[in-house]
Amino acid sequence: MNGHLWAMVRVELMLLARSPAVLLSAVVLPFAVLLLLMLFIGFSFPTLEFGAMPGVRVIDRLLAEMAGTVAASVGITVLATHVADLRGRGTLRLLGRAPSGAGRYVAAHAVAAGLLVAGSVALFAGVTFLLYGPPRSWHPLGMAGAALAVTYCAFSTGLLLGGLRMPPAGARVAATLCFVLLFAGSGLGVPREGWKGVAPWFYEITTYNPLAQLNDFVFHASLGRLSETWPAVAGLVVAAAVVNVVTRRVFDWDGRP
Amino acid sequence: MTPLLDVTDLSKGQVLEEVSFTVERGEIVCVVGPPGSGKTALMECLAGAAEPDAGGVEMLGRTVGPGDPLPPGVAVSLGDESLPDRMKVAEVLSLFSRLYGTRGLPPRLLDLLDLEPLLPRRFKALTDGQRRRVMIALALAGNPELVLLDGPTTGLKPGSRQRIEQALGELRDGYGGVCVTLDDLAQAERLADRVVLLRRGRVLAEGSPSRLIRLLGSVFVLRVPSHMKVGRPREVRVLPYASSTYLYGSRPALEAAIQELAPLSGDRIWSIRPPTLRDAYLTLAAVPEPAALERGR
Repeated sequence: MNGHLWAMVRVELMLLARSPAVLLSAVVLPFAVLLLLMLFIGFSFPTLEFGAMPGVRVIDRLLAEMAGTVAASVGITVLATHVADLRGRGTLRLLGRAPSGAGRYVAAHAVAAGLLVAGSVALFAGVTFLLYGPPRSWHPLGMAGAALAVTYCAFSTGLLLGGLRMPPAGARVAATLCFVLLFAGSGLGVPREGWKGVAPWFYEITTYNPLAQLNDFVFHASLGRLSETWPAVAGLVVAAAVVNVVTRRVFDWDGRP
Repeated sequence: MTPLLDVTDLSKGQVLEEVSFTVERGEIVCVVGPPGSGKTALMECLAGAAEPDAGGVEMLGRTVGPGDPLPPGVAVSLGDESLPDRMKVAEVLSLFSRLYGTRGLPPRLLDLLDLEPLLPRRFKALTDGQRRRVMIALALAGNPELVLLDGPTTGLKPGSRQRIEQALGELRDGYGGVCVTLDDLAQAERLADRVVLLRRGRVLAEGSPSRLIRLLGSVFVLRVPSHMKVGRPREVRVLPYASSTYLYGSRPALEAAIQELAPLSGDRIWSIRPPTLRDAYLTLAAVPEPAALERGR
């Protein structure tokens, strides 16, 4: 039966890799954010050190932020759009009738999303390490675990959005809007502490934004610490589990009125 | 012997009304009717994509209720199902073979459906006929005993149509059962072992094409354009339809009718032909009870 799962994961990954939206979300997004920040703030920006955390550079924080952001982008935008598209075409019905079962199909999506996020973070980390050198203190396992929690939350949201009975175009708009709002409210890639002095009202928004909380969690995990936002993250993970239960009830395989 | 498919009094809203028929092993059953006659609704109810209001369905000896998964060995291909544009034919065939635990499509069916050249191509690059062939191949990837196909040849060119017909014939020869919905009565006459004529959600008649045609008796058919006033020729049944008027009767009676039409038609050459399944459908649709036809013979 595991053969079925891997066959589905392989096909899902192939499908996702051929999608321009996926390349945009998983490959272009982190580099575009880095480039834009350098253009606006200066090319020395990534190597600046946080005053409060000696030895920790902006790029170290950005790496963690981008891991969370890419997870959210893949989980919410890519997954919701992909699932809604498959339902619109009737492919979900086809897969639902196959003996592999619906659970395995969803699991394949989860694994594919996880691998996509891992690949994207590895690429971004590799390039930034080459350009700026690795961080002085880095806990990749902690960061991977935290990024996994973000992926789970984003995946659950994306699956719910994609599973709702709405046309593919509607799902695309809803998912993109959801991600853009989360991303914009998380600090737009800038470490949220950076907004404290510039726009305190915006910093205030980031303290309520779920993605900002998750990104903070990933950043501290990459340093081997537990973020102060861990209660919010725990709440989000529990909420994601509840969303999974709701999704199980409302997920529409047929796409028929 | 237990039929592969046994549909009993299946009803759904205004679309289907007490539809009953069976599909035995080694036969192709065509459910035929014009668009809107309830064929797709019937197939959706059988595939579990729609919930019937009443009635029962047994597949491969197992009762299948609303929401139940289809038994292993049953394959379905509905008309509105397709694949992601970016997926290659070889990938999808390989995936479904894995999911169904088979070694893939038998080479004979690959040849019949002419899929070999399509394997490296993406779904987006296929024509409608090629897509339909791929969807049928997917349905057959699980090596099913019973195949349910909704309008597999609707709108296709003769080449693709013929390939699909050959593949269905192959399944029958392999001792499987095929239930297929069609719009085209001529195709059903050619393809089916048994036909279920559907009209406004009700079964008009069921039987082999030859039996249904024999219901008309030893008549011949004359088709007259609808703008020509036919009148009431003796010993001829007249069925007026929007595009044509059909005259059914013995050859001498129809020849007499042609004589009556001569002043209106000028030098037109009329052809009297033997009845087809389409004529049986039109006649059965026009009489309140098919039994009345048999009595009138």
